[in-house]
Order: sequence, then structure tokens, then C-alpha cells
Amino acid sequence: MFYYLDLTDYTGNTERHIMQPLNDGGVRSFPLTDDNPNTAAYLAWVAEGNTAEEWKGN
Amino acid sequence: MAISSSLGSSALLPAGLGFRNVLINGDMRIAQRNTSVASLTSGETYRTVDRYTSAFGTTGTWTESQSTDAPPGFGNSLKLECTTANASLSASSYLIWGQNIEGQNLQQFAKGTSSAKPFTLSFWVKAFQTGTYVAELYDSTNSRQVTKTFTINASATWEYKTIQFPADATGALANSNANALSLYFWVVAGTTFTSGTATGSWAAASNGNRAAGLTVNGASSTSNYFQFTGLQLEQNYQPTPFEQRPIGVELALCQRYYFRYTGQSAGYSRIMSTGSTYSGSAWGGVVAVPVTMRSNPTAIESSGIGVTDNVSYDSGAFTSVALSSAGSQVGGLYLSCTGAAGVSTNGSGHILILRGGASAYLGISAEL
Repeated sequence: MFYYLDLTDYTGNTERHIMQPLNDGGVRSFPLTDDNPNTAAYLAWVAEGNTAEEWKGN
Repeated sequence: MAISSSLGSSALLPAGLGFRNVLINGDMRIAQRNTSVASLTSGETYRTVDRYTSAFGTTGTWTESQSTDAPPGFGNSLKLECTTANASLSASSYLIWGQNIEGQNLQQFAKGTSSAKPFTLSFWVKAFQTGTYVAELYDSTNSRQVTKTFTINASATWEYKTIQFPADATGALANSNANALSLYFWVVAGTTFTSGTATGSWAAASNGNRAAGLTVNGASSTSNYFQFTGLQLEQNYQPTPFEQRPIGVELALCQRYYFRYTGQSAGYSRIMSTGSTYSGSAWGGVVAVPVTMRSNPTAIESSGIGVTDNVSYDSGAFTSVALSSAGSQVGGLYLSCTGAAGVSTNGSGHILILRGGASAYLGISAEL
């Protein structure tokens, strides 16, 4: 299950992040960019017909 | 007395006396993320022992762990245990695990040249189910592959195996920090991956050839388990004894790809960094890493991260913690955090903490 979060960093740049809850209660997050190696797994999940909801926090 | 053989003197000597093993954490000593993860049914990622990724698809349910059961000379192994069987695999079923290797650590194999060298693999394995399994080298640079089978002869017994993959004069491995070569072990495979031919020669990648020769359904029973340790992949004509590296060296090699700050014992918070608020409740600051990472961090894993504006005050946990692409570098990452109480005034300084308890963590990934 993936969620998305649009986050503005210290430079003022707003970037979409993908948030993935982990089994231990933690969260994995990564910027949704073409060159990020984690992006492929998210896109494969979307290709299966899934849609990410907005991240509201733990 | 001169050393010689039909292959010449170089055939008897290791190709370099130190750092022969291009695999990292071959003895499964280091597990920064977790020592055990249960209920695995799908997905490919890094879960327990550092540098090893595992992938599950329609193959029952599994637990992956760092085990302390190991052959003499080793303290740990990576263990996969079947907890829900799948006795009737689908065509696309798979369970593979292995390690992705950076291209700039592989140039000694001279792959893609007329001077190409063989890849010699050695390892210890223990499993409940005997039979023939498959080891694969997958060249990501050129989409080429080679497989070899190995046989587990005795149930529940540690066995030492050696495999030599041939040299490949086609397709040079990228000399960069990208994934160039992967070592995979196939434990479960449906016909999508077994319908081809096990030639033992390098060829263009083909799904049907990837696990050809695998004669066993490793997911057939909840009695099944697989343990591996002492993995060594080297540029040599014969396997050499496992290269024992100091723990500090091995840990640093792992931290090039993943580093985890962990919380302290209950009731105490661990200080990681200082930073300041920059927009409403957003906090930003640089978190250092102990070694130069493979690349700019690409992902973080976190639990229980918060801030304090003095060492006696805990503002609570953030609801979101993310790394900033713009600010992160190989020597550290810039975190952007939102949602903790008490973080509201732009420009105010705060200390980033792992809030009381050993279960809190911040993992920084530059994995392949």
C-alpha cells in the first residue's frame, strides 16, 4: 500500500513523496522521481490498478 | 620451488590477496534493518540481512531472518522459512533472493572483452528439501544471464557448494555506481521461469531460462526452509577460502548502501541533528552519515522521529518525514519533517531526536 505526500522543502521546491507503511510500524518514503530506484515498484503497483491516497500521517 | 600447472602459475593463486570477495556481508553478520520479518507473500526489497534482497510472488507465506545457526567458522546465516505452503505453483510463481553489485567493483572480471575472466561462487547451504536448485548471474548493463544448478544432497545438513560461471566476452559491465550484476538464488519458480534451457552459458536474458533446471518446489511444505552463508564471488579459476573481513570493514561496506540510526533504551531520546523550522510546522536539517554513500540517498525509513527545542522537552512525533532531493548528498541527507507539536515559528531551532525507546529509528538508503 502506497500513499502520496506533497512536501515543500527548505528551498521552496514542492516535491511529491511516496509513503509506504512498513510491517514494524515505520514508514518508508522516497521522492517520486524517474531516477529513483524505488519508483519502479510504486509504478508497478499503480499499473495493477491501485491508486495512492494522500498521506495523513501515522 | 616454482608453482606451475597446466593453466599456468596464475591459476593457483587468488586474483589479489585481499578483498577477493565482491559480495558484501557474505557471512550474514550484519542486519541493520531487522533480524526477522514474517508474513512475506509479495514484493521485492531489502528486509533483514544487509545487502540481500528477496522477492516473493504467489509462493505461499515466508519468514526471513538472520539465524545464528551456521556451519563451523561462521556465526550467522540468512534463513527463509515457509509458513504457508503453495503445493500447486502458478506459472508466474517465484521466490528468489540475492545481491546486486555495483559495476565499479566488478571490472576485474573484464567482462565484454577478449580477456574476460570466470566468476567463481562458493557458499554454504542447508535446507529441509533435497534436490536441484539454481544460481543465476544477471548482467543488468546488457540484459544477459547465465545460470548453474547445484544439488542439496542431504536434508537439514550444512553443505559447501562451489560453482564456476564462465567468462563472458560479450557485454562490458558499466564502470559506475549503478547495479551491473546480480547474484540470485532461485528457491521457487513457476513454468514462466523454468520452461527454457539450462545451458550454463551466457546469453541474452530470457525469463524461461532463468530458473531452468530447478526440479524442486521449495514452497511445497511448511517443513521447508533454506539457509545460506559464506557466500563468496571472486575472479578466480578455483574457489578460495571465505575471506574473513573485520566487522568494522564489513559494516562500513554495508553502510555505503544503508545506514540506520536506532533509538536508545526506553525513556531516553537519541539526538541525531539540529535544524530549524522554515515553513509553518515544517522542520529541515542535515543528518550526517558515517561513510560516503553509493549515491545521494534515495529513500528513508523512519519510526518515532520528533524534535525538541531544549533537551528536556519533547514536541512529539512528526506525522511525515521525507528526504529532500535538492538537499541530500552522498555525505548526508536533508530531511523535511512536518506535523510535530511545538514546531511553529519560522527560523526557530530544534534538535532532531529519536523519541524515547529502542524501537525508534531512521534508516537512510542508497541501495541498488
